[in-house]
Amino acid sequence: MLVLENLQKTYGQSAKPALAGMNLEVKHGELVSLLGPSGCGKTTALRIVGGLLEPSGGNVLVDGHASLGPSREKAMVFQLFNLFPWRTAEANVAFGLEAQGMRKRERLAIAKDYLNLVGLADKAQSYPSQLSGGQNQRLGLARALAIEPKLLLMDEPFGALDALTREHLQVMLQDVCADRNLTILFVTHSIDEAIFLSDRIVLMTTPGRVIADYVVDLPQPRTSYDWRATPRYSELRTSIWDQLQAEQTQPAGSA
Amino acid sequence: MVSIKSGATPPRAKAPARTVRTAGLTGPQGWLGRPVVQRVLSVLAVLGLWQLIGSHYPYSMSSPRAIVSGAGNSLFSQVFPSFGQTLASFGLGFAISVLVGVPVGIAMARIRVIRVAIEPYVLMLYSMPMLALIPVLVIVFGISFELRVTGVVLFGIFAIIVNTFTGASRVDPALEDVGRAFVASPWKRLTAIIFPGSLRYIFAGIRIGFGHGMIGAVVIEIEASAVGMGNLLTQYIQALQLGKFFVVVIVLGIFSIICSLLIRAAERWCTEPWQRKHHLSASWQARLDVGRLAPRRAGQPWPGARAARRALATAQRGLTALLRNPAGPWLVRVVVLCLIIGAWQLESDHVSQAVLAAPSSVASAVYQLAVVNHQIWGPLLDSLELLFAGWAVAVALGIPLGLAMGRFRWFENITDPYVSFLYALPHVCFVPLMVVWLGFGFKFGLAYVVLSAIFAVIINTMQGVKSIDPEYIAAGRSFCASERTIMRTIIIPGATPFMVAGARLAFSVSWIGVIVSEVLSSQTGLGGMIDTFSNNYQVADMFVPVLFIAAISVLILQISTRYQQRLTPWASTSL
Repeated sequence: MLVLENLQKTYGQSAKPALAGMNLEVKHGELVSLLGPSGCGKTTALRIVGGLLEPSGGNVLVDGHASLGPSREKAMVFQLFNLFPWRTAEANVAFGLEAQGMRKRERLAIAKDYLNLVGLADKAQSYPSQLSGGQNQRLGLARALAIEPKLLLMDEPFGALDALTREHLQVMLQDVCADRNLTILFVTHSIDEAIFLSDRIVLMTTPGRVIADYVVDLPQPRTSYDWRATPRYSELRTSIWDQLQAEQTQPAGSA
Repeated sequence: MVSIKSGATPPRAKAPARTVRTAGLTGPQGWLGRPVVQRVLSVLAVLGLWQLIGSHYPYSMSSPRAIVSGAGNSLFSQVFPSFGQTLASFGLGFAISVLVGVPVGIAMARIRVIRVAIEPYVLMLYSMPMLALIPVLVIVFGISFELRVTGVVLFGIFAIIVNTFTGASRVDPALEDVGRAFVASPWKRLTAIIFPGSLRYIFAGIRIGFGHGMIGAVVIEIEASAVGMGNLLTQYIQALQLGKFFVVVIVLGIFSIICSLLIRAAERWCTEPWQRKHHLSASWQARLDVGRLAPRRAGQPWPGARAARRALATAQRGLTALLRNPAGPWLVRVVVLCLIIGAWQLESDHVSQAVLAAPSSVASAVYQLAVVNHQIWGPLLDSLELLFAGWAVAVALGIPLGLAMGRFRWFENITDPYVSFLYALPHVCFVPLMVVWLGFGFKFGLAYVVLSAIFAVIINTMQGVKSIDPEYIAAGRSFCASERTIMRTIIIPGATPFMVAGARLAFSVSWIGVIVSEVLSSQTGLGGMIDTFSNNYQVADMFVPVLFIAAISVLILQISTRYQQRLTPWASTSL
């Protein structure tokens, strides 16, 4: 469904590339995590897919055709929520639809559905400054889902939240996306979050390349059992941890 | 060791320092500590003192009782009709300033070529004493309604443009990313993101523009009009009717205060709901990666528009490429400058030399006055002397006052009524009275410059003190620092960026004060030169001091901005 072909990105005159020829294929309905240390280019890759950055080389294909630049089939959820402080919860969720030119009554009706979905129906008239971080990110998710994208791009969406809220939202994301047939590209630096949410985990390292691709074969839905107690979880976790450690101690590029 | 050196008292020496401020009747517990009581008492005391002294000097001070009786026999017959005249020209001029200034500011922030082309002129006109242009305008428009409206626009619009520009260029780029990610059209991004995102700056601009516009309205009436409040002020002074003079001042003051409250209320109404908490911090901005704009896909192109769109895109691409070249912006600026001078030359060919001097004759006048007979340098030095003297006095008085107002609640309460009133008032209305007190000379100029500049220092310093995190003061107290030590080691350094910002602002304002005082009353300095030349219809010569004034304004702005950054490198550059 989503294909990254030899994606390259160099910022300005910098000698070191942020992405040095990244290749990735994501199947329809899959949730793939990009996992790696900060500065490894995972956010850069996501922003290129989302159309917010221009790649220096390579291509992004969605359903077989090139898709550089933003489009209605892709929606983003941002790490710092990026909600409009001057809009109510409802108007924030409706923004994507408004940008598409939908009439006010229709878009507010849809926004209401999505507020319901993320459990914020009673906060429709609140402003982001009146809501907690967790509630704000639920709004961010609702805003993205409201335009019914094929591809959801999430940039460390739970990175700015406290640990408890974070787990809560991870569970909610699973529930919300389970029957929507969404393809999700998810950037994180938490190994546990990646294991819990993903069908596949793609390990990245500086400077911007893929070093490993794990299939997370824990049965779904993972909310139905204690997934952390399974031997497969510890195995995956140790393996990913070791590989990241090895990359950290080795000078980049000599691997 | 360090704490002893820095003057903190040893723990046991002054344990009850914390209670010093709250002791006695002025503490928050006693009735004298109530802000309302302190304000009322202060106003009553000043009014009583004024009555006591003023009744002995009816022709130079007047007194509250004389003002009340003056109001009785002039308010409806003279003051209100004049006020209506002022309101008409001011209202129209102010409306034009807002309706034109806000779009221009946004266009400057969003369209690079517009910014490159007009930014130098906007900054020059923003920092320039507009009064210097009034004699020129008088020759063009004559003494008329159009002149007064144009004056209000010139005085007010640049504050609105500059503030809107600042706001629109500081909208959080992360929010713009959302607009792009959701494929919002440029128009939608403008109305849904840029405009609301810069609303607070726009309102700040409107507030400042209102004050400047008021000054413009009154000053033109004083200088060149037979109608309005400014004219009335001069009439009453000449007739030695000081009671009535103060009635006019008070009416103007009340109007200004009401309007600034209304503007503030409108701002609250627009922005308060979503501003309970501070929502964006600097660290948020720092985390965002800065990338170039990705090409965006437009929505459905309407039929036939494709060719136009393609041509536009080519032009846009050409401009972008041009502006990216280091020499590009300069090319644009030179072209714009040539266009302005060319248009000026063409226009002056059509009208009489007594109305608009051609650029060529202005150039030769500059040569004549600066190089051949050196006539410009004496007045230039006079003006600079007044500038530095007035600025130094304003800073020396304003900083201690601002520190005290920010630190001590009771002092703020008893001084705040006057500071607020005098700050809101277009202070040019005092000019006729000050001339009576001080004559036409240096003393008058100095007093006027201080009056116009001191509030920038006081208010910035006060804000600086109030912006200090109380945790710092708590940290000082936990080491049992005395009030003096806290002032010296926490309050003053903490407020320094604001003090420097205030002093910088005061410098620009002082320069305006210098020119205003010179044009209005004295025959000295560059302002006086303009006045003399315009009275003799030496139109080309008149432009020479105007050009020098503009050049000094720009110089002041450039130097003071650079110094502010150097003096307080830890502060953000944009106070």
